[in-house]
Amino acid sequence: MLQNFCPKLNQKMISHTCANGLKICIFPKKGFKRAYAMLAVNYGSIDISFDTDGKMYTSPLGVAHFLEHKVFEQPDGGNALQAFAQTGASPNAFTSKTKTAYYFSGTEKFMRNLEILLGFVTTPYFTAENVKKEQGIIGQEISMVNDRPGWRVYENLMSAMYAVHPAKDSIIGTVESISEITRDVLFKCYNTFYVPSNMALCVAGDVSAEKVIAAAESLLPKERVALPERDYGLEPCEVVDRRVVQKLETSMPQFSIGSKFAFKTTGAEGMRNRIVAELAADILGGGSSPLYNKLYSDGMITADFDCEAMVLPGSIALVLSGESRDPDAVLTKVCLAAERLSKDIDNAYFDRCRKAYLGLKLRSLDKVRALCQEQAEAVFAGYDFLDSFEIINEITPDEISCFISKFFKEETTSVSIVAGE
Amino acid sequence: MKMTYKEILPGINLRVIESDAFETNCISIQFVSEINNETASKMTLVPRVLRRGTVKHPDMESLAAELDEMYGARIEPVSRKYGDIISGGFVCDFVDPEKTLFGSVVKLLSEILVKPKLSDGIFVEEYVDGERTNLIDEIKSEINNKLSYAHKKAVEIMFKNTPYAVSELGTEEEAEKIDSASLYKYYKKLVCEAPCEIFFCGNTSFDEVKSAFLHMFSSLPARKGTKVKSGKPIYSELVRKKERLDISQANLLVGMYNENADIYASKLLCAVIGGGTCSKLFVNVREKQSLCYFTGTMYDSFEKSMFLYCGIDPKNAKIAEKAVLDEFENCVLAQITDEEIHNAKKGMIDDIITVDDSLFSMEAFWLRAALLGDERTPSEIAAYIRELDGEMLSDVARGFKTSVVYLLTGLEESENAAKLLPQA
Repeated sequence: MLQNFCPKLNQKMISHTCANGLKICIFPKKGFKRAYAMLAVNYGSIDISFDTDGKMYTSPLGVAHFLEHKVFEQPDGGNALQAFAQTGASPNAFTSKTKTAYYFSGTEKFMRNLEILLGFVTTPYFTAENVKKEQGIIGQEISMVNDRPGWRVYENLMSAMYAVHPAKDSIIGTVESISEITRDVLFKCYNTFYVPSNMALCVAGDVSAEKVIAAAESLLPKERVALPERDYGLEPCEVVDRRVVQKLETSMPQFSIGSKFAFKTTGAEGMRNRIVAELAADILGGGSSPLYNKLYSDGMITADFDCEAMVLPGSIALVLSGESRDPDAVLTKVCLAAERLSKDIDNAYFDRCRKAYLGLKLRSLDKVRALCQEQAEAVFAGYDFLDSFEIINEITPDEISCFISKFFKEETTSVSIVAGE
Repeated sequence: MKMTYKEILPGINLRVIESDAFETNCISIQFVSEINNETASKMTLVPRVLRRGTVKHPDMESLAAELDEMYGARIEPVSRKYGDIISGGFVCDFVDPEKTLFGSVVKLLSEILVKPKLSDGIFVEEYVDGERTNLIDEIKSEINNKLSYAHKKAVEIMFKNTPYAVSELGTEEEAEKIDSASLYKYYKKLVCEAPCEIFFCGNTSFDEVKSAFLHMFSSLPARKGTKVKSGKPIYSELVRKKERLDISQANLLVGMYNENADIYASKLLCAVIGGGTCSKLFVNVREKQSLCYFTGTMYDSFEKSMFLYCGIDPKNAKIAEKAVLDEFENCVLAQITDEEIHNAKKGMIDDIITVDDSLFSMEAFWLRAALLGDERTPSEIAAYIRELDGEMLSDVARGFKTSVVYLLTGLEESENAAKLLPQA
């Protein structure tokens, strides 16, 4: 018999959708000194082909990340970072495969900081000169990340797993691709994707929801802009390469093992698929899994080991990463464990993994950045993060078995290895 | 939020912060010792070996199953270095939706700490061998993160042949020597004699937490209450060192010290120079001169050291070193604007007063505070920082001496080409 546990959530969310299409989500955090705001754009490194004026356009690789750097610069010659510094806020930004996010946290002048955030993201200033300068800075960043075994092993896995889906390409692009980025390219992509209907504003802190909504309504463009069709191609079931190896100075071989399958990743079905995928990852290779404990006890992996679900539009991958002297032997064990779980999952084991998963999600309510990020992803996928708590109890062992059965077949699985000479 | 800090047994201090602001609760228990080549690896290994199994839960899988039942509570081994002191123990966090788990978590923690699985009266050899191998791999893997590797090497140079140079992981050579018997002997000494700092934050009273930990220590011999004494750091005279790896981006670090300066004035100076996007290094070396992708500063309150660093194109090493030192020199010459001080203060004060927003920040803050012997609250420190001015910062800057210039660079380079990246 399965247990049922659904502790009452102490966390509320206030949400509002503006006429321009912007979704605002506020998590009240009474007594917290720091308030946090994230303006996320549903535009990541995979959004390179899209419909514009009835024609498909393909941008150079790395534009989303390039824009993330450039958006901070302002027409008056200043930089939004300096404006934040005057209020003591800590701003930053990141680009992932699927989104770009700008955020700050601070202890005072929250509304002033929010105005700066909303203002600079919607005030592009790109010139031939500042684009050229950024090519130098991003060139350095490309050198830096290419020296990191962890980055290389991940990006190599992506290009081994995906044949068509633009997730196969590096988030930051290449030195060659960024040299093709011009002011016009930036404006084209910016004008297409940096519109309120393609954004989510997520806030957590002891702040006034009414004031946040009023600021967003008054500072952002009023017009609701139609969004373009995006083309991610038709991804085949098979991976491109089953095994890729890169030589790079590292003390112990690092590996990423990934297996992909096509899934719906939006709406209620997408939310459920994401939860099933995350729970399946814990059951397969989480800290209490027989797989992890056996590999660790046998000295085949170190404690630096993760098993996680990677959700992309229309595709979910289960990815196991870590360090091992024999990544191929780890791959064999992973495939065997997946095969066993696809036939049967012990109810008691399932129950405790689900309880631990729920605990992990409850903990994320204390982490304002993680909370806003989860909600921004949920908005872009068409649901609310807090709704996912109720679904967790509905998941069954059979659902997980069925899910895992789709993964870790020879033809859908790749292993990426980075090792020294 | 109510905080109580008391010595509950000789050498065992308990700090309880009663708060219902979080879904999560945090417990930390840290034993403290002087660091040296021999103790570092052992202090790091002990909690890792303890976490492998207990008498009742003899392996990781059965421990994990127990933790899963507590909503995925975590009991993680940890070791941290503070100057010439090392701490080692466990940090736990757990959600407690039904308010029933505190006792169970402490009971399991106690089991891990005082009832480890043994074989012939010492640690299980298989566990020690496995964790020692992992530790050696971890020491070897420090090279993977180039900036922290370069920082470690620079610290070794700055504090050559002193405890301050020892990393919390220790060395491969010392780790190799550890076996079950020697580690068990160290463990017994640690849990029976070493000073200990216990921290709790959550929805449980001081008396209840105290009672749970007194019960934990009741199975151990009475303690004498020994103290750990920090020694004075001894710094190297200026050393320039270049090392090469197969990398495309070089890391440059300039290490300085001022043993007499006030910690927070030094930290503020550090923030003015490289503390964020409005710092001198970021604005002038990264943005104006396009000399690096990342740049910043690190300050260590225990070492009283400051490191200025940047990630650069190897051929720009000389010009970057000059650019970095120019920014420091400007501080010596009192060329610090009110805006720079204002921005640095705001960022620093923000960081300090928001310690109370995160359990793990509080845990780390109060452990450092206990080791520094500084019981000022985040708000009191923030008030102190507000009073610092530019003149004080220049005075502090004038007291800094350069001890090391360390360059971790690629295999091939022509350093004299000194070409700037494209710039506006």
